[in-house]
Order: sequence, then structure tokens, then C-alpha cells
Amino acid sequence: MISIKNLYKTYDQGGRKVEAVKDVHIEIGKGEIFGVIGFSGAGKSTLIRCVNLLETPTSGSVKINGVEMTELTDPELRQARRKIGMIFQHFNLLTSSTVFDNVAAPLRLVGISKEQIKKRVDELLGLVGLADKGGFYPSQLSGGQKQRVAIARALANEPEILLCDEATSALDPQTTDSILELLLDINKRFQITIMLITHEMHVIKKICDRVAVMENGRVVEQGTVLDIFSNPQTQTTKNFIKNVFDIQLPENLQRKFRQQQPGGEIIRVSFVGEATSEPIFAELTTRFPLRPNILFGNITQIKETTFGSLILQLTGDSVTIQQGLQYLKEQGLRVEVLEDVE
Amino acid sequence: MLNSFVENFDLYWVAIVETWWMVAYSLVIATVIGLPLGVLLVVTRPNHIYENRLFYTILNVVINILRSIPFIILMVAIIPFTKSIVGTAIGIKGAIVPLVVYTAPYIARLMESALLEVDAGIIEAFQAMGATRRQIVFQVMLKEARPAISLGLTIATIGLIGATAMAGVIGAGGLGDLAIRYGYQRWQLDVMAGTVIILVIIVQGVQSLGNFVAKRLRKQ
Ligand SMILES: Nc1ncnc2c1ncn2[C@@H]1O[C@H](COP(=O)(O)OP(=O)(O)OP(=O)(O)O)[C@@H](O)[C@H]1O
Ligand SMILES: [Mg+2]
Repeated sequence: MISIKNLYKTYDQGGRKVEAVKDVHIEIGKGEIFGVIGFSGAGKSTLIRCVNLLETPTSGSVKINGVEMTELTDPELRQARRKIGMIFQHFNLLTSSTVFDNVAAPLRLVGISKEQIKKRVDELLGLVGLADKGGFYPSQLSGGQKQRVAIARALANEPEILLCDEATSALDPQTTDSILELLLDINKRFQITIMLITHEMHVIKKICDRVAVMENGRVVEQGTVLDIFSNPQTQTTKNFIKNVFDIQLPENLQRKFRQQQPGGEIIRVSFVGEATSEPIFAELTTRFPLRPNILFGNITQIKETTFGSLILQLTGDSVTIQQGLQYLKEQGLRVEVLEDVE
Repeated sequence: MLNSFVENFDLYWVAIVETWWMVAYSLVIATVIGLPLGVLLVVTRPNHIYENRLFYTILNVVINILRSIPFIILMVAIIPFTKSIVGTAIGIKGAIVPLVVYTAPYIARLMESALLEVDAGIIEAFQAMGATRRQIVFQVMLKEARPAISLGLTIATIGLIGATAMAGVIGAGGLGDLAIRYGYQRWQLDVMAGTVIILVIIVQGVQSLGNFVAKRLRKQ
């Protein structure tokens, strides 16, 4: 659906070259919700704006449904953009138009009949839960409601793709969740592919299927959200995850283990899905002469899947421990021996 | 004072009507010229939808030059130009040309700043939905800037009223002419004061009207 290859974007800031996007490769499938996360200045906005050519890439390829976007003529590009909705952090609604007229704006650009516009706008306002707000002006709405208007507007021409640039960053946590639920609902209902940009792991965890982590213009890590959570590779990713899912041993335990050498091994076990770990550990103790001692654990929801992580101490002789670990892996758990208890 | 006003009512009335016509004609023509120039000053600047560095630079400089000439000098300096266009350099007709030359660049600047107030994010949102550049100018920029445009035109109108009073010097008629001929040359201070009071009332009225319109547009 969206295929980004070898993408570079270099800005000239008064003679100084700024490489905002460097060698980015991303493939997004139809109906997927793909997140890009990174700190401020990482190049996320630049990247997403290269998808609908609001920024012209310096080099590289952006294909949508196999069509090379960078080679389109102006009229072709406008045509293509009608099938790519976009929403923004600051909503970008016409302040001098009503909610109805804002949602109707993209329809008026293509010139369809008044009756059709009315029908479609009413439908869209119903979809985003603002059926009774058509006559309001944006200044009379809350942030969440404004973003709903922007979403309705973005969906007006029945796009196949929705680009979201920090769409929830100006909203409080509760409103953020309601907007994310709306996006998820739209994604399921219309099979719209969503590419979203955020600096909050919470957003990724809540609705994304896959994620790319950006740092200094590069994608430093990408994969399914579950994989990234269970096996983060870079420090940046770990830091982002820590904000929403802490699997660090608490301070006092860390200190305790540093002072007295613990027996056996300290391991971290991650598990995905409904299969809770308890029967597995019960089974482990009956099969092997091992004593698991759960030190710390956390469990969360990643999109619709349960994801958990446990830190435990396994005591027993080292050969048995190895057998035990092997057993846990065979049960489909991710097992990691912690060298250092931090 | 009131007596003098009633006695000279016809005098005032003729002057008010003359001023009205000078302002009305000049304002309409200057807006027809100045508004598009204001749009061009915005859309041809770097990174805007019709970016054209050369055009932008030239327009910018020309407007700056015109804007820096005091009206009284401009009026005299362009007499040949005025004559070639309307056939005369005096009277209402003769005043309209310099008034337009003076006001159009002013309006261009006022419109420029009104249009620059339009949030770049909104323009971007419309680019992202596939709007043409023309649609962006007419359906986004000019529409969103309407309150600021109406305030800008209010300021231009008030400036224009001031300039028409100066145009009285070249016998253009109107309130300025009245003040000079009766108030200054014949030293009828009551007429001078009457003219000033009328000008104050008109300016107040125009400003209130402009504020009202802008408020209505903003509420919408
Ligand atoms: N139009 C521009 N001209 C010059 N430099 C730019 C431009 N836009 C972005 N940059 C630079 O490119 C880099 C990446 O910016 P970008 O806006 O893509 O980051 P971001 O990840 O979206 O950050 P944020 O979370 O703050 O929105 C920054 O160093 C920025 O200064
Ligand atoms: Mg950004």
C-alpha cells in the first residue's frame, strides 16, 4: 500500500545542511496501522509529509499502490491526494466556517452536487459522533471535538490512507483515548491504512500493529509492536517503552541483589496472548527440581493482545536451570537471562 | 456654534457629499488594485504557493517607494500623470488619481498583513486534500482573512479621509477644501471647528462600522 524506499530529505538551513530523513525504508500493508515514534526533531513530520508530497523528498521513492508519488504531475498529485486523508496536531480547521462547511470543504473542491454533499457530511458527522454540531463554529468546540471534525473532513473523499501527524498530542489523556478508539474503529470499518506519528508510546501500544522508531532522521528499529515491546534493541526504544510499561526491578530489590549474590539465575520472561504463564510455571516445577521466585511483573494490553513480563529468580543446579529455560522457550515464552539486575 | 452650523448647513452638506464621492471612488479603485497586490505579496514570497523571488522583490520595493512619499508631495509630483489619465489635475476627478496612487499600495500592505495572519496549517491541510492553488487563494486565504481584511479596509478608509482633506489644497473640494477656504483663508474659525467636528464624527463612524463588520465576520 505505502512503500517508502531509500528516502532522504535534506533541508538547507541558511547554508547548513540538515538531514531530516536519512535512508528510510518502510512498507505498510493495506488496512494496517503503522506508527512512527521518536523524540522531537527526529524527522517524523518530515517523513509523513513526504508520503503525500507536502515535502518533496531529496531522493528515494514513495509508492502508493505501486504508483511512484515523486513522479506525478501537479494535477495527478492533487488527484492522488484526494485519496489520502491527513489530520494534524492543531486540527487546521477553517475558523470562519461551520463544522458542516469544514467537512464539506474537500467535497466542494471536487464539485459534487449540494444534495450529495449534505448527505455525505451528515453521514460523516454521525460517524465521528458530532451529528448535532453541524452549525457550530470550531471555536465553540473542545479540542477532541475539533479533531473529530478534522477526521470527518479527512474521510470525506473516502480515502484509502489516513496520515496522522501528532493527532493526539494537543489532547488530554482521556480525549486522546477516545480519538484513538475512533481511529481504530475507522480502520476496522473501512479498512483504511493508517500511518501515524507520535512521541507517546501509549498511542503506539493502543492502536498500532507495527512501529518504526526514529532517531536523528533514521529508523533505528521497526517491527510489530509486540516484538518491539518484548525485545527492544536500542536504548531509545527502551526509554519509550519504559514510559508505558515498566519492567525494571524496583530500586530496593536491585540493591539487595547487588549486595548478596543471588543463587541461580535472574531471568525475564515475556508472554503474549491469553495463555497466562501460571500453568506453565506450575508445570515447570513439577517437571524439574527448580524453584521459581517471582520478583517483579507487569502486564498490559497491546492493541487487543495481552502482553506481560515477569522477572524471576530460578534456583536449582545449573544444568536443570538450562533445561528449565529450554522448556519455557518451547512453551512459546521469550526468555532472557539478566546479566545485571538493573 | 450650533447657529453657525445651521446657517452654513448647505456649505457643509456640499463638502460632505464631495468628500464622500472622493473617498468612495478612490476606495473602490484602490481596493480593486490593492487587494490583488496584497495577495501577490503573500503568495509569491519564498515557500508560498506561487513562489517567485524576482516578482516578489520588485513588487515589494515598488510598494515601499510609493509608501514612503508623503501624500502632499505625491499629489503634486504626479500632476502630469493625473492629467494624462483624467484630463485634469483639479476637482474631484483630479484628486481621485493621486488618492488611488497613494492608497492602493497602503491597501496592498494592509491586505498582506491580513492574509499573513491565516494559519499556514490550514493552507497545508487544503494542499493535503488536493486543492488547487486558486482554490487555496479564494476558498481558504481570502475567506479566512475576512475579519482582518475588513479591519484593514477600515484603516485605509480613515487614511483616505485624511488624504482627501489634504487634496483640498489643490482645490479638490470636500471638507478639507472647506476648512482651508473658509476656516483658514477667511479666518472663519467656526467653520474650521465645524469641519473638524464633522471629520471626527465620520472617522468614529467608519471605525465603529469596521469593527462591527469584523466582529460579525469573526463570530461566524
Ligand atoms: N522546512 C524546514 N526547513 C528547514 N529545516 C527543517 C524544516 N522542517 C524541518 N526541519 C528540520 O528537520 C528536522 C526534523 O524535523 P521534523 O519536524 O520532521 O521533526 P519531528 O520528529 O516531527 O519533531 P516534532 O516532534 O518536534 O514535531 C529538524 O532538525 C528540523 O529543524
Ligand atoms: Mg513533527
